[in-house]
Amino acid sequence: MWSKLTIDMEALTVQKQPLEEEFQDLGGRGLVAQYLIKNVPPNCDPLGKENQLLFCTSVFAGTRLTTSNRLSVGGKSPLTGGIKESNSGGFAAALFADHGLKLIAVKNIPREDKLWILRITSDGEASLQDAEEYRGMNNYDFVDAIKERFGDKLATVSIGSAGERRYRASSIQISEFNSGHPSRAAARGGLGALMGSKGLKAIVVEKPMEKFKFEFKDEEKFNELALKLNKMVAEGAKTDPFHNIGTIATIEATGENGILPVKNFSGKLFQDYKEVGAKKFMTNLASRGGKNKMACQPGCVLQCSNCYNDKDGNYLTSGFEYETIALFGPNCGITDLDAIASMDRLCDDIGVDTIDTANAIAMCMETGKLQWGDAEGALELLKEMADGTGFGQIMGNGCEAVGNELNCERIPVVKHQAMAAYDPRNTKGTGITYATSPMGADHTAGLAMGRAFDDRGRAAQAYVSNKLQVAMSFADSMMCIFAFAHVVPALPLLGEMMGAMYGGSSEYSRVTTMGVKTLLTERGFNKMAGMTEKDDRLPEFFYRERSEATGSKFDIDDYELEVLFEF
Amino acid sequence: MITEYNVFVPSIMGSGSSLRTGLELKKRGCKKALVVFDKGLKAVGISDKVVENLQNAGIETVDFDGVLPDPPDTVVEGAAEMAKEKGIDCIVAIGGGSSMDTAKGINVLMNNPPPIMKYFGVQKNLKPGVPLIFIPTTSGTGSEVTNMCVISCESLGKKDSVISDVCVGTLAILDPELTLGLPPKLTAATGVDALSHAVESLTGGHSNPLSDALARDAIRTIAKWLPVAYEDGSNIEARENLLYASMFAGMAFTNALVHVGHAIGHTLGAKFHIPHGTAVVISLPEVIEYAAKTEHKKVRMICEALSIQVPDDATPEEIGELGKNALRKLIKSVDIPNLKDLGISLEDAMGTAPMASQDAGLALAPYRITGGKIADIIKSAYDA
Repeated sequence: MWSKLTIDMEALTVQKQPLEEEFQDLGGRGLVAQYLIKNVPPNCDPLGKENQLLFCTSVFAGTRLTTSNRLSVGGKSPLTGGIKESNSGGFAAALFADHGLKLIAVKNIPREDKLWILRITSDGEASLQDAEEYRGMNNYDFVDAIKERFGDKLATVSIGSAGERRYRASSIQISEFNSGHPSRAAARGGLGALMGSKGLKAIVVEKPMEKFKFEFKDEEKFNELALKLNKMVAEGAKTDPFHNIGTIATIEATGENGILPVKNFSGKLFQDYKEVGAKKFMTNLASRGGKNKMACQPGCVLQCSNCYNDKDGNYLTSGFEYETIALFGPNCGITDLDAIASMDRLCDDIGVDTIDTANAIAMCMETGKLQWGDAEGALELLKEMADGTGFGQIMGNGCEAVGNELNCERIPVVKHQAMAAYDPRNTKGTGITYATSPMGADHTAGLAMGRAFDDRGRAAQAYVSNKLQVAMSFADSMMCIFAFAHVVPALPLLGEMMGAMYGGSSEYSRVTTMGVKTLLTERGFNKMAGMTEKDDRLPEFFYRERSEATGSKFDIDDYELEVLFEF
Repeated sequence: MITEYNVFVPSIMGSGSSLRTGLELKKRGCKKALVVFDKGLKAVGISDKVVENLQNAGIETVDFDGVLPDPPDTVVEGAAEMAKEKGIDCIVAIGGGSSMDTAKGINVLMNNPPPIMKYFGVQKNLKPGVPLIFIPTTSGTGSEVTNMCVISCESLGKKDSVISDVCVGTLAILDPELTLGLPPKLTAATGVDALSHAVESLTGGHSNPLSDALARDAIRTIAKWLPVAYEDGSNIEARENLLYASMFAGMAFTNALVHVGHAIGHTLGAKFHIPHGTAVVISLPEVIEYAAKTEHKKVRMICEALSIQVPDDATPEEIGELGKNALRKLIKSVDIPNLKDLGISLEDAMGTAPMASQDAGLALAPYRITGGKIADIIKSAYDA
């Protein structure tokens, strides 16, 4: 039976209990939704005492299914004002599962403005420890300090100065498997600020001396099915550019077809995108001792992660992804991959979402505060975030805050959250996902690129977005969505695996129902938090302005968006 | 919105045009043709006439008279093996949708290894086949101008389609005289099949100005001539108009595609073995009423093509109702049975809604439609 830890930051107590029966067979995004709707008032102040910060492992956490150890971080979002599940790789979820933990719920706020660490030791003891000495310390230094103090058989989940300052675009950083770098992020929706509001600097979880053993209904059958799926993922990985290169490979497609955002979603093509493309990336890895094909969590056979070194061969960043590169790169007119890597490092270090932050830089360029392509100027502004200057603090609140401050007319956000690196006019299904996802403009909620007849056309886009949003909402409860993509031909096996693990139905509908229920619960939460149909629309300029690359506008009928989640 | 019109098949039209088949093949350098048809066409002498025409032009012929309704994959694979063995260099299909689908399936397998089920779905990298000539003898499927073939897979127990350029004809030959012998019931069922292609391609998310024009003309023509041909099968003017209208509708839907009516029709057809044309048109009026919510401009066009006056200030709901009533009137005029007439219980009919709601054809629906709404549509159409 799975357990939960309840951390009361007001009473400064830690309590371990069996997880409620109704939550036992849930996990990840599904568990976040069901727990929050029952325990957090949707209209609460996201940084107040009524909000809770959740850390959830997945439905199949701790099992042999590859990539099942994703970490879902949840709460009411300080950025969107709605429900938020931010999904991350890294080492921590595997260790939580090995301790038998499926849920850590952090409640209330401390009476004093102090910082604590939640420490879970190798013998399973969980306690709050004073962390004042780490105040102001950013994630890389923090991880080093923790390793020095407690050894390296552990994982960290931490906030940097951005989360401490309650920046609404702040992230929670999770250390990677093996390297230990805090380069995996529960980045979106400002959950770092929520962690900061709880006075929780970090969770430090050590590898348990004795691994928790889950009592399967039928372990043999489960392992047989898991092996089948693992083989599919491993086989698929062989030709998957995410494995062979990394997510940066995406730019080779989007740069050509107008999906890559260029200069604040101007809709233009960017002739120099190859300067920040796959070839450059691979060349730099090879010549500087960098690496790709790395696993961010134990047992991953897809291995999309990487380690990117600077010109002198020194470690610069890892988990260097397409969205970060595209949004700090072409979307800001920047073509210097090393400068972008430095920006990625700085964001991970202070703990902010690269997507919202890069879009905030584009706001500065659009309004003339910076010149397009000024990488040095962009880095200076990021340093202002780290230093907490007046403008730095506005930057920390993300794209919309900066856009409003600078009177920018074209602010690419939905539900106050900035868009990822896909122009919604040229992948309209993704635009529909941006508009309607309860998470705000979120590519991982249902990236429709290449899945309908014509990315730029209207046909089948709503259908594809709906199907993907359901699928992603159960995938985010179970495994990494990159691995999930390779098991799509065998999805009914996921139902059988739930039956073999928890008992009860082995029907695939158990899985799809979880997806639908999660989405509807999330939408219910948002409605009670005050969101309306107007929050399910793209910014007006995507409807008005043509993409110069393709001539497309976002011409999806409002009614199609309104009925998207009728089941 | 920016749209595209892509699939196009050259055509020869007119009474007696099937007698040009031999010349057209010769012009294309063909020497040995596989002629695909069913035994019924042999019995009425239509296939013999075409075969003779080919032979007179100096083209060797190999007959394949084994076409079955809902072409099974095994039949297609057998015929393809035979065609390759005989070294044919072109295919001539004579008949309705089944003959043409069989010929397309054979063409897919001419240079791509079997089984055909490997190629279900949209295929962009198939090796090309041989020149493919279609001579339709019904006015319904429009298959002579489409890029898809529907095959029944016996081992999977379901129908699926191959969508590929390899299914696109080299030439369509439309000879209305070949349709004169079609009995009234079949004339009606194939005619409303063409009607449903036109109506749905107008209202789907993939429509474009060219497909819209073709669809509007098809609706107008079918509304005028289908009742005439149903009453008097020997009226050559009616036959001619219907044959062209079914081709126009086929051209419209191979570019614009169809949606909810076909999803419901495929499900009803599979469950109750209703002929395709009847199955897809049974709920078409209600489907158009539903579509009017967002596609009211298109439904207005449908009404106009059916000679129905629509007030300038009509609401989408009012336009939807006018469209529904006009379509139903047309369908009833050629005695297409409703579900009740077919002896199906309301409960059984509505019970197909969940299955229809899983049909991939709903991807093209104008806006999201739930199983509940599909059940409402079936209920409303049940005894209408």
